[in-house]
Amino acid sequence: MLRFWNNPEFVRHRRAELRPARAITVAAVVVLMCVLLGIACWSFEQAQLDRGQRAEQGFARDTWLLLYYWLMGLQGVALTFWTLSSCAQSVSGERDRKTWEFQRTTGLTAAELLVGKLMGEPILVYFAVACAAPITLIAGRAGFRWAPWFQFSCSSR
Amino acid sequence: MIEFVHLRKEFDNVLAVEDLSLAIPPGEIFGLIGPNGAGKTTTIRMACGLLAPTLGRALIAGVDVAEEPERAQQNIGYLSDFFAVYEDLKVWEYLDFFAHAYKMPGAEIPARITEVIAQVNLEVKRDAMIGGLSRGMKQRLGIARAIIHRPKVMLLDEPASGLDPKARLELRNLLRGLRDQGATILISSHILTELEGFCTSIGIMEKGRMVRSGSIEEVTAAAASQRRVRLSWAGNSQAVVEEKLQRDPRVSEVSLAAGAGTFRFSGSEEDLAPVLAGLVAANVPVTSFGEVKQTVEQLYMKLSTHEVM
Repeated sequence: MLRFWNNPEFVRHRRAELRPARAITVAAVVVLMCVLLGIACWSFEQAQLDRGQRAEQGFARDTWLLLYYWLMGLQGVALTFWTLSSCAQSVSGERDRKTWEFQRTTGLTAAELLVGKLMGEPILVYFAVACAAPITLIAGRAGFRWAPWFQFSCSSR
Repeated sequence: MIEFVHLRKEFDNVLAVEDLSLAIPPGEIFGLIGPNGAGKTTTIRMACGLLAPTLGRALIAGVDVAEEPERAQQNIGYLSDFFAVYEDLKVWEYLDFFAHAYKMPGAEIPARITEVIAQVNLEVKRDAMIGGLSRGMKQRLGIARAIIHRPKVMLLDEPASGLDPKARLELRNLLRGLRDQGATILISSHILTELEGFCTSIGIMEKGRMVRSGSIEEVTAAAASQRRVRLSWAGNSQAVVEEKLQRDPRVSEVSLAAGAGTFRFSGSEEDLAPVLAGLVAANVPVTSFGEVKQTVEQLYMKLSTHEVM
């Protein structure tokens, strides 16, 4: 089986879905959504503080933690549903476009086609998740959830 | 190169292809003719491994398509009547995808892409998105896809369907070029003029059965129990011509007008020579004399109505 990054079906999806203009747009939208989500999390914690429903201590950490949970949840949902739906529609889409027959007449095996479609069809979701990943990592670290060594170093001060 | 052995395909209770046996030697251009529903597409789809035969075998370059589809498909270039392309790819990306899918050596691919793009005259569209191409260009791209891996066999199912006359002419020239390069081509069509002067042999299918197949000459000979001959002469020799022709028992349906005419002849091509010699000996100044060749369309009309069966 071809390695997936050399898999023709994966390369085709990568080329078609991740053209520079689209990639930049997706990255910008993801970063903007993360920023808006961060502001929403901060507003929520601030409102609780204002209403006296939480202590001032640990405010920043809890805000990061909330953002981290939201980002992880949203990415999980996107990966699960978007990936499943795009993979499910992949073969039917090929059939509708009548390109499925041509794929079947190439030397690609069923396994290569499967890997290519699983890795390639949802590539825009993978890219969006990859764009959100650094922000998720920062939120996780700051929320003392992602890196135990960071939690340890902070608590030992 | 292409061989069908007692090929049969049934869909539920519908018999699409019945006991089809055919051998197409290398370098042959075989035209599969027949009305819609005759079984042409089913035959081609079985030949390229898209359909499994109910019975029988399809062999491409000696490889059984049903048993070793991937190996057989390395030798097959398949083109259908629909313009199925990935509209969100560039022309060169589309060909690159199929070149890799056919597992061509990576180092060879860029040069091969340039070569086939030039072959189908799409050089100026190399970096264009496929979605912006015309139908004719998309079909040419389809041909480029079908030949990218240098297949020994081309299976073309109504390749000119939906093309304008100019695009059809271009397609014809392109296929002629492939023929000259030694490809074996099986082409199905119900636009019979497309196959005229292009195929070296034809097969006529009806209701899933091969009514007649062979070289154009063989099928013509089989279909033409009587040759139709046209002649012309100078001067006023109509009476002499009529008299000479009527004397020959193999001549019938003589139709003469001023300076020209036709008749039917039941003998062989060689038997025609004495007829011409007789006219010349009778001092008829013959200016032309020859058999009226039947077009593929005439042949098809004749055979499909079972006149010779």
